[in-house]
Amino acid sequence: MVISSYRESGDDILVKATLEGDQNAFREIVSRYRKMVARTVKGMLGDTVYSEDIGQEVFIKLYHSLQEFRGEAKLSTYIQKIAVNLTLNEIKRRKRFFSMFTHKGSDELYEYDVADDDYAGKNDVRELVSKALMQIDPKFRSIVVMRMLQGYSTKETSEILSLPVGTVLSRLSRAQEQLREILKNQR
Amino acid sequence: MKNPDIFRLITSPPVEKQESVEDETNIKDIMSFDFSEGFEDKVLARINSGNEVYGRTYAIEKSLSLAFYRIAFTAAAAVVILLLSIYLKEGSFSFDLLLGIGDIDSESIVCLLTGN
Repeated sequence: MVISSYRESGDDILVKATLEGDQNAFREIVSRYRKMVARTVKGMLGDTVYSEDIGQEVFIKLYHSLQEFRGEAKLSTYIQKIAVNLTLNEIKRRKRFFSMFTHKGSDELYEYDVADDDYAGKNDVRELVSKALMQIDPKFRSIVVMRMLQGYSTKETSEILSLPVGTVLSRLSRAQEQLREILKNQR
Repeated sequence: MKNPDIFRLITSPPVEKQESVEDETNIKDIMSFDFSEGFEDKVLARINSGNEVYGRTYAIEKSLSLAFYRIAFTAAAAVVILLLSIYLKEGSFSFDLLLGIGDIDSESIVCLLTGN
């Protein structure tokens, strides 16, 4: 059965229709969760051209792994897990790749991109927070993005990142210490 | 929302204890991101084309890998041709022949190296 518009449909219907081969249903999933994925990927990588690619990879991986989705967790949580894993892999991959050519880590390179290309002249809050996020350790950054930017609870964050609740809380606390230090001159 | 407000929210202790839903909404609104126009089409196009592994992100590394394989295969082919030409010319292989010193005896090498 092909439905032209899935706007009102629940996630379970969209997943079922996608598995039956209806790409309009998958288009609706992408449309529904693209902003959520963008907040995770761009929050962790910075608002660069690379983030768009990783965003696409997230949905491509989702498309191929939908058969494994049992519906035990929410679809949004499942997508978040994919987004976080791919983004952390990308950070590691780029760090390895760029370390062959420069002493700079990938994060510093991203910071350079952000400052020079995407945010030039936009001295707003988002820019300042994004730049501050790029300066903290990726494992802390993922916690801040899930907890503060996406608004997940500590328990949900621990599920998405596959970490104990205590680790989430301690990393969040350390991340906020670092952010406080970085942002104190921006007030 | 002014800078100090968002900075306070993002650096304050876990939200369950002290912040309101309104504050969380404010952070989400300010830190909202999106992908470019036609994002859905790009995702579906990559799924349908089968070009799923390599996006722009991997283009440079893929090019370097391709260049490496081309150079490596060419170099391997050159070594095979060299070995073949030595074999056809000399009728056998030896370490000296591979080094290009098959016709030189050890005394000549000593003379050449010491200058005497």
